[in-house]
Amino acid sequence: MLSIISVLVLALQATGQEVVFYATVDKNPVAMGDIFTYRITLENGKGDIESPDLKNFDIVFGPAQSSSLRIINGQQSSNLTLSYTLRPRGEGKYTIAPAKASVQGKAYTTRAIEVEVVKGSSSASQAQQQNQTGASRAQQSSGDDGLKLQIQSSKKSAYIGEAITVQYVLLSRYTSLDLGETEFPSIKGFWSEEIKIGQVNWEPTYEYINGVPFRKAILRKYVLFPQVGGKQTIESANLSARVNRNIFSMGTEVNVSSNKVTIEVQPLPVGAPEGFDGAVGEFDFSVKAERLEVDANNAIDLFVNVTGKGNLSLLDAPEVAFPEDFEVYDPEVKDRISVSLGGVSGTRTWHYLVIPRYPGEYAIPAIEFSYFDPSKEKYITKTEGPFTINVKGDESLVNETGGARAKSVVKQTKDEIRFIALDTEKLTPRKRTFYNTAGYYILFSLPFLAFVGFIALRKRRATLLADVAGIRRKGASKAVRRRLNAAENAMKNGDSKLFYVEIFTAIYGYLGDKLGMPQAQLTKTIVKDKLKEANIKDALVQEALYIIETCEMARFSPVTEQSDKVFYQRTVEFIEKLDELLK
Amino acid sequence: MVLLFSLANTFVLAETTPAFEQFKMGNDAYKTGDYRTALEHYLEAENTTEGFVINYNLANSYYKLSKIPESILHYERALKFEPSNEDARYNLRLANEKIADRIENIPTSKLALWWDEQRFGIGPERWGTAALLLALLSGASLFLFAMSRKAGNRRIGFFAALITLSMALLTHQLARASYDNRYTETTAIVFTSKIDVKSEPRAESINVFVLHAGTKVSLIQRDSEWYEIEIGSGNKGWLKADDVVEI
Repeated sequence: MLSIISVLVLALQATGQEVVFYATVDKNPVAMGDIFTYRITLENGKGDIESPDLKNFDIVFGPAQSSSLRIINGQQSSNLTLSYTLRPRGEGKYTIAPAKASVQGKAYTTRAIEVEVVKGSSSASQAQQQNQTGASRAQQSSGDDGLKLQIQSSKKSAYIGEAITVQYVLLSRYTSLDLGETEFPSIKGFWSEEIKIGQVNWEPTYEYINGVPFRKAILRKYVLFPQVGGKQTIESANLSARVNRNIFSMGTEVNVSSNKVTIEVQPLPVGAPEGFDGAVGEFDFSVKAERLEVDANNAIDLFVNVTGKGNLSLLDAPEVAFPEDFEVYDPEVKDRISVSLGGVSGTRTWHYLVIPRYPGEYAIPAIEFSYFDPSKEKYITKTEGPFTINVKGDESLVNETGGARAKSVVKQTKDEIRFIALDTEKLTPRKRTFYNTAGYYILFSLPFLAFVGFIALRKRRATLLADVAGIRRKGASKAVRRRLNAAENAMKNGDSKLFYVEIFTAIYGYLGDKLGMPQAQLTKTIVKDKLKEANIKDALVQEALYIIETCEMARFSPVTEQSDKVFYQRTVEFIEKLDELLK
Repeated sequence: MVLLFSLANTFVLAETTPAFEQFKMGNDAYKTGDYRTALEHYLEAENTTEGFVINYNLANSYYKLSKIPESILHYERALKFEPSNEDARYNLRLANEKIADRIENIPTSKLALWWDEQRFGIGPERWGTAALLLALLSGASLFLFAMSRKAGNRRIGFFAALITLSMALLTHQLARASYDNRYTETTAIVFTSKIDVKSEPRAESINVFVLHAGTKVSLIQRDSEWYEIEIGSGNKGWLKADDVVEI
């Protein structure tokens, strides 16, 4: 059905008020067989309203037209409403196309409304009717369509440290509502700043969900700063409320749970500047030093300010490299920070108090402050300074007043490797070491080999020398044997005189050779002495003397007392004995 | 004569050799902060030289270029020549702080350091020379012992020979120790950024622990392309020989 209704509003022209054009339904979803109302409203304007095609619904009643005009404090506002009472024809989802209006040549449209028609059971509405008619028992229902709790966040994805505003919103279609227990779980993974809202009030405007108007109240507001990367979830809040309470009824208790909100937290991009310390937002940076010329031992105030929007209350002081000779106290932090739906903004100030102890000109190097700007998606570094501080005063005086100060200790400020070795003298060529070569081992053993060789040589010479005497001694035995043989021959020939001569020569020659003396020097006394010297037993010495004396005697007179043969035997035995002893 | 000649050769490098020029150019580049050029010159010089200074300067250049495993390798090599060098030990400590693995090292006492310096710092050449001189002295004493006719001199010769011989053997052992320390490879530095150390010399065997680039390991034995290694904490395992560079 298509109907065009021309509306003429002859009332006062609404001026300065904006034209608003919208469509609503009073129920969504609708039970099969139930009726619902579809309204098209045009505020602050006059014109033609073109209703959409309502072919999926039976029109029970309508279109009914109502209009109102209000003047509040001289402000006019007009309101024109067309309403249809409709009944769905079948189950399913049906879309009511946008309504159109033309105000002073300008076209306006409402949004399309999708109406869901569910299986027909009008018990809910009956129960509601019962309640409204005064049934005194309290009913409980959860997930009531007339009451919603929503967590609304300003962003679905954010960088670490980037501000997100989150509101807990209560939406209600009930006219009377008493809030009961509310439960807001703690928010994990975020640094949160609550925005104080005082008393909870209904907002003057409606919020439309699927074309159904809801009253709206904000229960809580937070500004959140993500602290860790990844998917972070804000857990759902729970609320219980009592609705439709009046003097006849206790009303119904309704429990609702909100949605969960998942926020994709992105880590900050790589390439952060060196002094970056987690500041995210938009900031200004300023450093103010009071009195850059002071007397020694007088304090200097240094104010480091960061102003702007962002995670101000999470900021640490930018690094200030004061000269080593300054006495530096921990900075005092002053905040002028306000938290609103727009985020956290204000100023954080670090107030340094430093006392120079010695006169001279000192430099505070440039102070840097780096932050990440999420809207520009880049790091920004702002620099202030450097500052020159002129400390005046008399050195000697200073030492008296600041006398307690100990000698300054040399402090290593940064870990860096030590410098290269410049001593080119110590550069050694790569070559095979003499150690561990064959030459080395030969040289090592050479002195010992030489010594061993020397010893061996000497030993051989010593044996050679020793052999000269040995030869003579050996010769002695041979000579005496020759002589004895001659004596034996003489004895066999019966030549007694020759026999004794031979024996005499044999014994003298033998003793001479054995004792190492020429025969001419041998006398009986010398023989006696020499033999004694050679440790020969007295009996043998006597024997020797006897043989010599017998031979001497036999030269002059023939020996009668014994035969030549016996004497010969005695002599041979004697020589054999002596030969054994004198080797 | 041979000995004296080799000694003279050890300590003096003629100023005109190309290695010397390269070393000086490296120093000049390093002074201006051009570490890349310095490194190139040092590497050139390293081909024909060895010892403390070249390894130390190489290590410094690598450190400045953030090549920490190479830097640690050359600090360790430099310390083989001068075990108690304070600068090299300090820099090595800084370099070790930059690697991923933290293996507890027993702090070296002053005495142990002194002993290392005596053993390894003096080097095989000088210890070997001392051993040769002592052997010569010992031989001379033996001759005195054998030749002298006076009993007193013979006794002096005998004991002198005994003492100098034992000293010669001792210095020879020191030369041996120093030589082994310098020229046999018993430790290595991990060069692969991450290695799974295996329980057996086989790629499919179980991973026992993980090492990262820059860690020093002791080499126990080699089996074709695998090394058995031990780390400071006493853990043992096998890794591919091309994952490490011998010090």
